[in-house]
Order: sequence, then structure tokens, then C-alpha cells
Amino acid sequence: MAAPDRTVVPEVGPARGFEAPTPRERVLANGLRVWMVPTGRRGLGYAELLVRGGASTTAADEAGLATLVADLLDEGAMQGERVLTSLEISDEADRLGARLRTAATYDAITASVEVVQPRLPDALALLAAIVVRPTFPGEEFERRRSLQVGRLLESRDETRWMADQTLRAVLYGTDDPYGLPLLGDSGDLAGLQRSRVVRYHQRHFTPQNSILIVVGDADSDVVNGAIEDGFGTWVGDTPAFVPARPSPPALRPEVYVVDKPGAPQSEIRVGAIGAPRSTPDYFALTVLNTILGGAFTSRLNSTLREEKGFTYGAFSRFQLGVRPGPFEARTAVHTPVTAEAVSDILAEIERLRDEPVRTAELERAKRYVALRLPRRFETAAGRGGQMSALALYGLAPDYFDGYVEGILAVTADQVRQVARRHLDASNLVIVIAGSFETIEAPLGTLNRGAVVRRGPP
Amino acid sequence: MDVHISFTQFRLDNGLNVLVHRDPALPTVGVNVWYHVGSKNERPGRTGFAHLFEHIMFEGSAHVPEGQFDVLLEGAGGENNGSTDGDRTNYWENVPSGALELALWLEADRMGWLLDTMDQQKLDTQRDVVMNERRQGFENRPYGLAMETLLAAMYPPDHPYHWPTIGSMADLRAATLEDVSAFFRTYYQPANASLAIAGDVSVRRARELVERYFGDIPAGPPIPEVLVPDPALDRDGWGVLEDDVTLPRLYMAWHAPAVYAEGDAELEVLGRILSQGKSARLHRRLVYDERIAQSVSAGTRSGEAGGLFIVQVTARPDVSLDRVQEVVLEELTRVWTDGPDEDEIRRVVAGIETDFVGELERVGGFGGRADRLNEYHVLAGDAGYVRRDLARYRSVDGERVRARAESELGMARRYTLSVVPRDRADLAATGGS
Repeated sequence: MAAPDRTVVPEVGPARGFEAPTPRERVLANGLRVWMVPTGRRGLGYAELLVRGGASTTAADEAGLATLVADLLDEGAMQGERVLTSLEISDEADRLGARLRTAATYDAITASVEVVQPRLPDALALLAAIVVRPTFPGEEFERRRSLQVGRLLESRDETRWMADQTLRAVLYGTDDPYGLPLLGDSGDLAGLQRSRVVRYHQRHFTPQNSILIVVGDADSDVVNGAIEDGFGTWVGDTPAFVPARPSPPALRPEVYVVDKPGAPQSEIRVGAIGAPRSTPDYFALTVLNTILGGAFTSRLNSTLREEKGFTYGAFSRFQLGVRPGPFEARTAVHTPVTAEAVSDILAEIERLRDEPVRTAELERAKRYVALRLPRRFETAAGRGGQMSALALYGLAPDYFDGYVEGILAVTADQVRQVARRHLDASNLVIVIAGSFETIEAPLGTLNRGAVVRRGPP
Repeated sequence: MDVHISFTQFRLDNGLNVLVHRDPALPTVGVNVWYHVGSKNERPGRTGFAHLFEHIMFEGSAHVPEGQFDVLLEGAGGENNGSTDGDRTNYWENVPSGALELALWLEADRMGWLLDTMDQQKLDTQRDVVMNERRQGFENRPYGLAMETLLAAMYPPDHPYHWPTIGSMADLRAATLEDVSAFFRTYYQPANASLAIAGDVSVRRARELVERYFGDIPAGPPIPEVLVPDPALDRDGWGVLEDDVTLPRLYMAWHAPAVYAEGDAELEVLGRILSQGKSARLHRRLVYDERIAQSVSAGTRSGEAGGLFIVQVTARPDVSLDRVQEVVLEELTRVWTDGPDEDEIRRVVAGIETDFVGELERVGGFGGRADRLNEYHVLAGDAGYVRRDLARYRSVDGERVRARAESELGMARRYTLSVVPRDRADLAATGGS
């Protein structure tokens, strides 16, 4: 065969059509919404029970409670008349080959299971037991609380974690759960009683406050029977408790450094309070972030990694929550270039506010986001996760039908507008975990205010 | 339940092995290339070079200007990555089906014509990037220096697994443009590579494109053999690292069979019996009952030139690792004396089945179907090995695990490494216990 003309970049053919799965909704008699999502023949089955609230619905002296509740769900439960111990639940999941997981985020608590499809009904029964009727044994409570303190100690040894949590604390203050570590702090954890866990479960784990996502054979009587058997008798209608939130603290013109003497790298965060997932700016923000730091060729990574070699990678993200979550530009750089890297990040953000994005860069970002949509649905857990996000943020089950068009319609003007709206210079804070002694003086020359040492979160 | 990847295999005249797997479930296709070269092909003084070279592969080639590799793929809605370990270097692109030709053109250009536009600046920048990768993952990370300390103790200096794939800072600094050329000419040639394409593409179309873009890449010389000296330890050893950590951590390591060799599966099952699930033996004793540990893991890390079996226990604050070591040895002795029971084996095998089905859900990326086909072709000598691979685990029974634990661990020498907080060497495990 003749050799091709390699100087010509091959043309990219049109994308074949793709329809994201739309869940089929049913509502059980107790009010629990169930979304059934079809899956491929050869993949795993997946189920996820999502309870709204998470760390956001804990009080000021309960930091870490949502994580503790999540961790304790599978430490004891009733299944019918059977009392399952922590070890029995774990063994039963293992016999099914099921990956049973529980987790707390700032906005929800989830319990999920991934398993081969023929065993999905059995896995659903186990999932129902730990979510609907956990027993929270006193001894397991003590054990999990102590392990959570241990995880907190481990996390505090990580520079990356220090920078992440300090950014949240500076942006939201420590009276707001969004400003606190999900693991809590040792003080609050020591004061938490088992009764708080039980009360949290009673208040929030109700059919009305939850949704069940099932990725599997939606027409299977066995699957549907397992859902009915496991979740149909669940009762509870106490209104979910949502504490009042303080307004965020006024930002001060300071650069915050969590000191790690001798650190070879600085973990840099430039952040702001961003937007909620429900923002009408969602598509424009997604494109904006892709241009700034959401992809490999984004501006931050191109400058700091590919041009200057300062870092292994530089990225940005908007953590869009039920409430406005944090925006952050993040990177770890060689200590001697810390100040220059911060200055570069600020310059890239400013450029987005001041200069219109050029067409080629805009189109690349849009196509990168829009055309990768199908791959989010490749695995059962991926499908389930996409669906549970829709449910959590109040988006329609057929939301993805308009996704590609929404992204492709974003204009350069809109990108500049949302940059100005969400990334105003006066809202940006700078947090660094690194060697204070080495980076203090260079950071002072940035004229971003005093460089202050901040204690660990 | 069955695991299976259907595929068509052919070889080009220049020696390139090609594997094609069709699955049109999504409008996307995974391209995956394995080069059978890793850090075990490096020479002392140039450790870390195979991985540094991987970085350079993304910086453009004869017909692809610097930076355009990623720009073109992202603009087509694709994503890509690569990785290096002791044995191999892999590269992948996940693209919408309409961009398959673009991905193949890019892969072919760097396989055939990487050096045409190579220059000092590309090397220097990626050297800085890799040194930062090392700082991020090793120097500035808790316990980050443990694994390279362990490898250095487990393997003699002339063994190709003696050094970590990331390499040393000094060797990274020493790398030259001549090294880049020589490495490319020696290892980056069609007969030392395997190309897998999986997803929304017909075999005919894939074959046509592969022949067009890869057919005229010149064949290369034979690959130099890697000499693997016997790594057996002649006595037990203990090491200590002080680190910026709060929780002490214990590593215990034994030599183990090579990947896919006899005994490899039994030891993987053993690792899970010890550490996966709350009633796994080490978890139950150390974390659940005695509460002297925060977490445990155990398993194999096996490559072509041999494997390791590693037990890792992160202890609670101020816990003596001597005590942890004692419990681990007690539990291991129980396993190689009495063997595991049937329910333990059953639970572990069920988990492994789920892992197989779960990994094969994806056509591309690390561990997806294209990557698996290449792995099986390169390391197991049979691209269709997946069924036999799972069968290895399904055929394991308690007596085989017991016997393997006894011969590989009970009767062999081990190396033990304690990572302790600064000035707390008193917490380290010792040989006296």
C-alpha cells in the first residue's frame, strides 16, 4: 500500500449520535423515588441510595458527623429478623463479590454497591438493610470514631490536604460546614456521642429525602422485587433539619501559608466562592474552566508545566454544590518558583476577564467537553453516578438530551462574562502549604497583602 | 459468569502486532500501544530514563509540531495518557469513532519519526516536569521514599528491579539527547510494540488504517536481552526510615513468582485473605480486635523478572512496630500451618470475578479492554488469555494457598522496613522479636 501523505492532518469524521440513558422513574408507596437505568449486557450492576444533606446538615459543633454516620451504616444492621454484625455484613458483601461503599460529601450521604448483574437482587437487600435499619452498635461507634481520628492525623501529614482544607476555611470560615474538613476535627470528634449519629439517621434517612438509583435490568421481576422488599416498608417523615448558615467571612488582602519547613514543593491554591450546580451559567462556566485548567492543554498546565516545567500538573475546577462551592486553581510547584507560579495563575485568570478567548481555543474546549459525554456512561457506576448527580441537584431525568447543544452554544462573550462574574479579583484568595521561611519574602513582592502563617485546619 | 474479549490479530511486515476488538455500544474507540520496554531495560546511571522518555513522546514528532499532539486530540473530543513501569510503557487515546484515523496518525508518527524534531529544550522541560513528578509523589509525600528503599534492599544493585521507575534525581539530571536517540532506536520499533484498537470500529476499517499509517515504519534491530541475577535474600533484614509522618508504618516483603507464573495467583489470593474485608485475617486482628492498626494491605507486585509479596500495616500513633510485626508473623504462620477455609477462598474469588467484569466494562484507558489485550499479548504471550487468567484464580483452593504461603513466605527470607515519625526510631521493628 502506498505511504500516506503524513503532512496532512487526517480529517475528523462526524460524531455518531449518542443518547444518554434516561432513567425510568417509579415512586414506591412510601414516597421513595426509584430511578431505573438500563445497562449493557456485559457490565456490572450498580445501585446507589442517596440521602440529601451530608455535612451541610450538621451543626456547628458536629464537624465530621456526616462521615461518621456514613462509615457506621455498614457496622451493624437488621435484615428482616436477623441482626447482622459488622463482620457479617462485610462477609456477606464479599460472598456476593459486591463492592459495598458508603460515603459522605458536603451535600449528601451515599451508600452504593457494584456487583455482577445476577447478584444485584441480593446486593440490593444488603444495601437496604444498612440504609434503612442500621443498628449503630456502641462498640462499633467507638471504633469508627477512633479510626476517623486516625485518618485525620494521616491527612494532616499531607501537604495537599492541608492546602485544600485551608482554602475552604479561609473562604467559608469555620462556622460553616463547607469550611470544615469532612473528617471533622479531633476536638469535635471527641465530643460526638452515639446519640448524635442515631438522631442524624432518624432525621435525614427518610424515603422523601432520598432517591434510589438502580443500574441493571429494569424489567427484571427479581430486581424489582428486591427493591420493593428492601425499601418498600421504609418509613420516616420527620422533616429534614437544615441549620442556618452564617454569611462567609470578609476576605482580607493576605496570602496564607501553612508552614511545612523544608518542603521541596509548594501546594498552591488560588480560590474563590464559586457557584451552585443550579447556576444558569453552568455551560459557560464549564467551558471557561476547560480553557483555564480543566484539560491537559488548558492555559494553566500549558504555562506552568509544558512551557516552564514548574510542576507535574496544574488544573482548576469549580466544585459546584447545592450551595455555591469553591472554585480553585491548583498545582504543586518546586519551592523556589512559588511566587512566580502564583503570579502566573493570577495573570491567567485576569486574562480570562480581560481578553476574549480566540475561536480555535474556544472550539477545542467545547468539543473536548461535549464529545466526551458518552464515555461518562461507559460503566455501570458511571451511569449511576451521573444519574445521582441529576437527582441531587434537582436536574431533570432527561437533562443530558440538551447537554451537547448547551456546551456547543457557549460564546466567547459568555466566557468573558462568567469570568468577570465568578472570578473577580477581589474575591480570589491565595493559600499555600509549603516552606514559609523560603517563600515568605518572594510572595511579599506580589503585592497581594501580608504573607501570614496559618495554623493547620 | 464468563469473561471474554473477542479480537482479530495480525502482524505487519515490520513486526508490529495488531489486535482489534469491535464493540459499538458507544460511539467511541480506544487506541492502545504497548512498547515492551520499561525501567528494567535501563542501565545504572540512567535510572528513570524509560519514564522520562515516555514524557518526551508527547512533545511532537516529524509531522506533529510541539504541543499539537494534545491540542489535536482534545479538539477532536479525545483524551490520552501514558504510563511506565518496570516492564513496559503504554500509551492510549480514547476518541470519538470519527477521530480514529487522527489517533493512529499521531501514534504512527511518534513510533516512526520521533527524532526528526527532537531538541534539547523538549528534553530539559520534561526533565523538570519529571523531577517535579518525583517531588510530588516521593519527596513531598508521606511514606513517599518507602518503596524505593524497599526495592533497593530486596534486589541487588545489578538487578533491573533494584531502582524505582521514576529514577533518581541525579540520573534524571544526567540524561542527554544522545540517550534519547539511542533509546528510541533500540526500543521504539514496531517489532517491540503491540497496537490494540477496541470499540466502535470494524476490523476491516481498523486494518486498512493500521496498514496505511504503520506499514512503512522501518523495522529495527533485535532487542538487547535483560540479565536478571538471582535476587534471593541470604538473610532477613530490617530497615528504618524517619519521615514527616504521625502514624508509624510497617512494610514486610518477600520474593514471589513472576507475573502469570506458577504460584502468582495463590499469593494474590493470600493477600486478599489477609487484608480485603473486615474479617480478613490481618484486618481483623490488627484493626478490628486489637485496634493497634489504622489500615492494612497485602498482595503481590509481580513483573516479568519476578515478584514481591508485600504486607503493609499503618499502625495507630505510638504503637510499636515490633508488636505489629509479631502479629503479622503469627497470622502468616497460622495460614501456612492450617490453611484458609473454604469460605475465605470463596469470598476472595467472588471479589476477583467482580474486578474482572468491572475492568472490562471500558474499551479504552488504563486497564480497559484494549490495554488488557496488549498486556496479555506482551506479558502472557497470548492476547486471548483473559479466560485463563480468571481460571487461575477460580482453580485456587485452600491447600494450594497454604502450600504456597509456606514455600514462598514461611521458608524464605524477608525484608522489613519501618517508617516512623522523626526521632521515634524506638518504634521501629527489630530482628530480636
